[in-house]
Amino acid sequence: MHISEGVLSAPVLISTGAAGAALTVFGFYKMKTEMLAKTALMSSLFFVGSFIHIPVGPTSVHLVLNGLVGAVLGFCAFPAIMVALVLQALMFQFGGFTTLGTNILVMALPALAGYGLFRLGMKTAGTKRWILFFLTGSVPVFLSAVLLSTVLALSGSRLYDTAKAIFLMHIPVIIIEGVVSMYLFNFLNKVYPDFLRTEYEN
Amino acid sequence: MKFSPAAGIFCAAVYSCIIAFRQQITPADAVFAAGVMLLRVNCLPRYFFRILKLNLMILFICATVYLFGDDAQHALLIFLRYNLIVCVTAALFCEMNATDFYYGFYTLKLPHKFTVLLFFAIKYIEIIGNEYEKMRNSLKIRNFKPRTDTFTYKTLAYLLGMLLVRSMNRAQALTQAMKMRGFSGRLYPFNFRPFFPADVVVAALLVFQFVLTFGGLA
Repeated sequence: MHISEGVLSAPVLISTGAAGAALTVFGFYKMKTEMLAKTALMSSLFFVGSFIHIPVGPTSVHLVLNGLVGAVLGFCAFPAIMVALVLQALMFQFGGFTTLGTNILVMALPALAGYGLFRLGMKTAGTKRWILFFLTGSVPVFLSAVLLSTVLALSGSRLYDTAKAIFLMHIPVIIIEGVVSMYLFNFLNKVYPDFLRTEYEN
Repeated sequence: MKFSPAAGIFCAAVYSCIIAFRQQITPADAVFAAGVMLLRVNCLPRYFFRILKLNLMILFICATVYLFGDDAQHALLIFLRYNLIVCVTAALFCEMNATDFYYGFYTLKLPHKFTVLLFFAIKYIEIIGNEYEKMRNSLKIRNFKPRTDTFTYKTLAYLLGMLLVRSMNRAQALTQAMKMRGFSGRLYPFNFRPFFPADVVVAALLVFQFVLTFGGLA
């Protein structure tokens, strides 16, 4: 899901970087001190999530978990994802400094959709809730894949086919993330309902 | 040669900005990368295979640009830009851990909210990592073999959920312990990562690179 250094054009890097930075600053403003532990925890889960590989046929995919981060944190997902991306860039060279803003935008903006869908899911019951929990996981990954392909396509017509290929590569992740999120939210709702409450925002 | 985290982060960020916006890569652009790799030649075996693995994705992107975008020059530009930046970051940070990065950002005087969040995230990564290892081992003991089926996805979802519950409990205990010691949203570290003589060398190299790239010496 990370955009590597050196791929995007300068206008795309600057505009998405500025948008990502502005939204992260707003996310930091929204984050109260009481929210710090939870934000840091979700940030570390987002970081660790990239090492949890899930088999899909002969190959495997890793979870993105931006839906889960968004559902739990709302706008604080921006600082949480930013910190995880900084550590991934420094420790494993996934992404980088110049693509940090773009990567934040690609992964954290769709997390807000996860927040909305999850709140909606908590108000419903039965099959409708299961479907909304599925969408909480899958829709943010789908939107992230769309954003990722869009920024690639905007970087020049030479990257159109790369954008298409990268979007297609994410289809299994979209489905798996939805299935895992569906069971995960149901589990958390039963075992630790307090964890899913978000009343700490400014 | 050892670098301080602050100098490493600053130099890597500046060099990334210089290279990422270049429309043409010349041998002169690789002076800083070559210099840093030469200074870090002792840990080259440690990051060489990581760079090779990372190149798989960029090779895929370059191949699609070359084959479908019909632009070999742009494919080469992406490949060179990526590898120059990755070689520098891998070489600069190969001996550093997550705590070093916290001290690096703290020394660079980044906002407290960011450095404190980074500090907590680093602590929780350790907690979550240990918990995940324990739970994965308990699954292994019970002969769990991941497959492409609902049972596997359900098990992994419950594992993630349990990981969150246990980590949250331990994270809350850590936060309470810190609050008891007077934590109010700001940290005052006593230990700092010192600056090394190599930092001066790497800073001089960066200035030289800057002059080469923008001063028209090349």
